[in-house]
Amino acid sequence: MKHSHSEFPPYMKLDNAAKIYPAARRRNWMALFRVSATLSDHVDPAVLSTALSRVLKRLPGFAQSLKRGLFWYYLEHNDGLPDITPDVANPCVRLIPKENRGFQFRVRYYNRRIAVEFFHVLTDGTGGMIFLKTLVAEYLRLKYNAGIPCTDGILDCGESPRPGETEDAYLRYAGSVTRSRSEKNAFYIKGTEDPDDVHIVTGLIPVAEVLERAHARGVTLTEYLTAVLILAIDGIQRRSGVRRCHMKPVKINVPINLRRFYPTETLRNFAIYVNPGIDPRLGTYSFDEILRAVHHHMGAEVEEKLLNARIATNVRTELNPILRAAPLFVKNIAMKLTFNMVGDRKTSSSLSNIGVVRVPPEMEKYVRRFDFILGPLSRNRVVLAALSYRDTLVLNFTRTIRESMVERDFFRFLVREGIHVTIESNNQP
Amino acid sequence: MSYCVNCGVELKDSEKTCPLCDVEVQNPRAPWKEPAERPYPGRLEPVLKRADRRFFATLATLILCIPVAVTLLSDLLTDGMLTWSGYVAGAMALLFVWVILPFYCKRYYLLRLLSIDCLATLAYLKLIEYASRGDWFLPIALPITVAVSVLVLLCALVLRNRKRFSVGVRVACVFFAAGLATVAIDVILAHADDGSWMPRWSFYSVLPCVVLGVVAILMSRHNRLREEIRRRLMY
Repeated sequence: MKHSHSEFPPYMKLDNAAKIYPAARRRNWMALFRVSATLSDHVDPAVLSTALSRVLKRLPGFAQSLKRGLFWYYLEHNDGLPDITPDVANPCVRLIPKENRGFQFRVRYYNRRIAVEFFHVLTDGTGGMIFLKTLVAEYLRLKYNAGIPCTDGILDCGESPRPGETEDAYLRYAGSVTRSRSEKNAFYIKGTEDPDDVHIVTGLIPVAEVLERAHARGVTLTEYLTAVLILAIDGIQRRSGVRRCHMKPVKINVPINLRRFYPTETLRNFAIYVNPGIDPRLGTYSFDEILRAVHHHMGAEVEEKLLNARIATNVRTELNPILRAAPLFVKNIAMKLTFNMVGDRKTSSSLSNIGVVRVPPEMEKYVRRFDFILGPLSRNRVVLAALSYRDTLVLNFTRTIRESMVERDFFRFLVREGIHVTIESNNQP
Repeated sequence: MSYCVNCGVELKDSEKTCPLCDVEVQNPRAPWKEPAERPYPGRLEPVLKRADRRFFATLATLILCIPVAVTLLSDLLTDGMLTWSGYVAGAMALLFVWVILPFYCKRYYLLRLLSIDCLATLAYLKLIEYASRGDWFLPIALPITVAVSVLVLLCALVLRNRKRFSVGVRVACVFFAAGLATVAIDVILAHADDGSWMPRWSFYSVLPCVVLGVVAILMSRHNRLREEIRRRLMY
């Protein structure tokens, strides 16, 4: 195996969170997400390819192939360069590594947009966004000779890679005390299955208007959006005609970026989930009650010590001697079973908010918009991804059923709150 | 700039209908026309279609034919007539009916497929009886097969209905059915032996089946215990 960076290891273990993803993937599904940037001018794929080759030298943690070991999957450095392909109408469809030169991410372009879709074994949303910003900055430097400084998460492609960028930070920060992961199963949004098609509905909202509503109620933007999503899904369950005593909790899976709590340079997975929600059996919740429930749940759960115990639980499972000694095919069966029985069942949907995307002013004039899209989940049919850039909050719903009731109720609520919502989608006329 | 009359959201120029409620955009001042640039291209990533079950079923059937052909041929070549190879051919036919036939159906039609399975089993047993010149089909094989098939059908009906029956009830149902099956076998054998309808040994198998079934039901009703078991099994 050729190896271009002597200081960079030729292979890496998967990080703690990534371990489940290769086992959980199916013929037609894997955990993908996508970040994209819309520029002010059409994208030149040849220049983009050159930029990508430079970025991969700076970020070798992304130039990896997934291999099967005797006991675990592992990542092996890949010296090649993935093809840059035209974009498609159904993003985040299963990535076939053989067709992608073994890489676990793919770069796509369409008119003025550069999009990168990542398999979750490589990184999380934060790492993915740093990769995209570095790629776009490098592209703009090559294409327009733009003097873009390496600030705001843009990495210098002239530097050599830093070892801290590929560390498994879960292992470093896991404490000794664990916490139970036991939770009740949540309400499942049913609809006409449409697994061959991925529906994307994008809502563009002035960020100031939403922030004003959220701050007026003393909550954060993520908490506010989570509460609106719970309200929309709760309404669907109530209209479904299920008796109240048989109703299931409505919970949303919200990833928390652990870099906020634990200093690390890592660009690999470093997030953990909290599942705020309500139990509709207890009665009809008003929006303010849901908001309070979400706010207090997040306030109690998103706390360094409790998060640490959650990390410790996950790491403890990984370090379990019986699990470690089992060969990969046995582990795969166990992990797949666990994923199918637990995985998405504890929540009705996901809301991943990457937060505010900042770029230097020299780059801002070239980039009109950023998008963040979650790929379809294994079981749950509707998910939401959010980010804000400049003065716009970009909300992307991903759906694999025909019915659009969740987005409809979600955006209609925002309209009733007096927020201006602009909608676009990947629907074809 | 158009708004959806239903949802109140502004729609981008690319949207001919509201993506939220499917109502067509009707702006008399600016009728919809194809925009210069759509947010997504028309090209679709090809999605792997589901495996063709019928194709694999046919393939498996062809593979199943190989041992049948080999045994029939070797039997015929050695004796000049078919003697023992009938057992192999019958067993393969039974395997086909039990395992491969359901793959030709769109879904598992419980009553129809189980009835066919029962009939195929009876036919195979009759074949064995005929080939071995026995006299046990009518008094033993027929009632046992029918009784077991009925119990399997009842079990399957309960196991299928996940909404109505909890895990504990479903597990208990399997235990009770196993107990009942042993009683049925015991009674049928006793009747064939000396004409009496009194069970002889099935008490020893029925007792643990009933106890385990009751334990399963009690466990499923005990919420905390159920949660504890689930947690231990998971983590």
